[in-house]
Amino acid sequence: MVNLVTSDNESFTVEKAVASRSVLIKNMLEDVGESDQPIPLPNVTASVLKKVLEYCDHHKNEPMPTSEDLAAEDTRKRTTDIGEWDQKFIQVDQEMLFEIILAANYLDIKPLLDVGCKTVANMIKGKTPEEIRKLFNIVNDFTPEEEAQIKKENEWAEDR
Amino acid sequence: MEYALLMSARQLAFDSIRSCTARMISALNNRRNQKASVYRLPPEVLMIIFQFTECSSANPLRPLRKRAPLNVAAVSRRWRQVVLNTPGLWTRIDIMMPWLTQNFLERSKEAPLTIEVNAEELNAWASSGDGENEETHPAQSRLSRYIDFLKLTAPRWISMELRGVLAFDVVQAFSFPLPHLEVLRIIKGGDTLTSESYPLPNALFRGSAPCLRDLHLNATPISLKSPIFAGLTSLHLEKNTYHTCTIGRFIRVLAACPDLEDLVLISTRFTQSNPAHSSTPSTSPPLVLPHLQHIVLRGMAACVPKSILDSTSVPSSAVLDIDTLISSWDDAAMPANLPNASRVRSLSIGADREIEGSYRIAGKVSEGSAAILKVGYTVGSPLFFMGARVPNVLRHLGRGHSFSSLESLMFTGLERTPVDVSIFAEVVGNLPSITTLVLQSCPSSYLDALVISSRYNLCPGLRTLRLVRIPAYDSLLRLVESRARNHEGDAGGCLDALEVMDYRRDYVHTPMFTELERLVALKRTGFFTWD
Repeated sequence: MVNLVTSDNESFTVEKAVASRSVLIKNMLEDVGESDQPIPLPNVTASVLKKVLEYCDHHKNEPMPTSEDLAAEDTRKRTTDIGEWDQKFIQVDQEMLFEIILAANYLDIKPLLDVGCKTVANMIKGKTPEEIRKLFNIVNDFTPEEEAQIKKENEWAEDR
Repeated sequence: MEYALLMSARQLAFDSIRSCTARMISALNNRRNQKASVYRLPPEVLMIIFQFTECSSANPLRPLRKRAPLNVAAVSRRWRQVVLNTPGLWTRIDIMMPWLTQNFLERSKEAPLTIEVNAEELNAWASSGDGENEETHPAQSRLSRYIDFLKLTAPRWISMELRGVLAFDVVQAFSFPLPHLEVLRIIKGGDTLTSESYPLPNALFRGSAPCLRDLHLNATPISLKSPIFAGLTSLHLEKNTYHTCTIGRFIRVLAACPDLEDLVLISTRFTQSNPAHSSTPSTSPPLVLPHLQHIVLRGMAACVPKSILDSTSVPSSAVLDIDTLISSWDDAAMPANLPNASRVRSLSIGADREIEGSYRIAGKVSEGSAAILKVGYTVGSPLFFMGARVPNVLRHLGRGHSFSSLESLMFTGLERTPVDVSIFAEVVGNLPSITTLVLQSCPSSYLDALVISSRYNLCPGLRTLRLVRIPAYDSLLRLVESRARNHEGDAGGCLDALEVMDYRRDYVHTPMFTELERLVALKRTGFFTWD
């Protein structure tokens, strides 16, 4: 078993197979060897780690993506299809979604990072820049010169 | 004069104030954006998200896909910075305004490019104000002018798809090497076969596309002598007519592609495709293609699939789909080499309900799985086949083919075809390993052939007989009596089970069925009523 301690000082004891879905933790365990020492995760809160571990537990028996898989993925067309279980898992509010993505990025859990990024991509797809701003509470911060250049580019695209 | 100077200074001051104010507002808005939760995502994560927005699976509308990098680049300054610094987002080059294409080319930096050209959009491009004037290049096709515009980036092209363009224009436009091109699809569209018009082997890409692996030519008969037909892993030729290339030349193309995995040949004609002239002599050792896994040969004369299969040796794991176009049953031939026959455990032989006179043979590894072997015969003119001779080609099924794993054989939809009981008996006789026989909508005379006598036992391994919608009366009783377990002189082929499906409920409860039940385990399912 592995003991993980979150930024808000909560402790989680999980199976090694579950914790090792994170490449960061897996490498730490390999470097340190057998130890009872808790692993601190200063960038992850308890509520987020709970979700992340739920994902890791569900996928614990799946093969880890190899570096060859990841290289092949970069060259082939990516799809935004998400598995049924993952879709349900990632149905969370925006705040939690970004937290999960950040945690997956920090813990180096590529499949979870992809699920989160695909979810955001699917939210963006087909929307106009204004709709995207509204969705993520972003304001237009372009200067008039930048705005003119963007308008020229997008006017053409909107006619297609 | 003084007034004009004053007005000019005032305008300058206004402009300066306006510009300064706009920059201040921009900076304030930028600061406000820092508080948005999405701004916590670092650039490397935003890059991944934006790359997913560019892919089209959930968004097949091309205009939206095209707009994807432009869209996200128009959201905010930070997002724009990330998008402009992600070359992979700008690598799909299709017909756009030349200045915008230039933007895509610059923003893609050194990343490999995918070129997509659609003839309809090409026309719009040529007539656009930014496109070059046609009158200045009267001899050049629109495709040539567009490709000239992109030519400097040619070393970065890894994939190219050309739709609706003429083979003539393609050869003219691409007269330069493409050193990194891996995928080439030229799809002219339409239903007509296109004749080979450019036999010059080295005209296309000046004969050099050394990385080409996936080639798809539809109605674009580039000469098979071109060096581009080498080292391929996927080859798809469709609706091409070759006047100067024989099937033998095509076999040489296959020899130049030892790593071929997918072969699709549809409605393609070769010169001298008569087997007497074109097939490889039987003494030649077969061409070994150890990676070939998927073979589709459709809409061609029987000699083409026969020549290809008889000249090659492919793994038994390959999936084979052959549909031969015939004008007479004399033209039909069963390929002697069906490489995956040994894996087939369930085989069905049936008439095509949609095309009269056509037959389909399908082999599966298990009953519920997809077919790994499909052999079909489609007649050119159904009317010509009315009352036609018996399709002898079916007699040859199993002769010389190693269906060593075959357990189940099914005949379906043959009640109004010339496949008579003699052909049925020959096919079953050629496949002695079967233990399950399914007859669906077939002549009841087939049952007579299955009756065991002291000198005759067709299908000696039969254990299960399944009948679906077959008029069966005394012949069925005779058959079951001869194959009953307690029958004298058991020479094999005794039935363990008889299944009757899709009959009228009152029919399968007649006294005859009571008698059958006494002889064999009887299962009655799927009743229907005719009234």
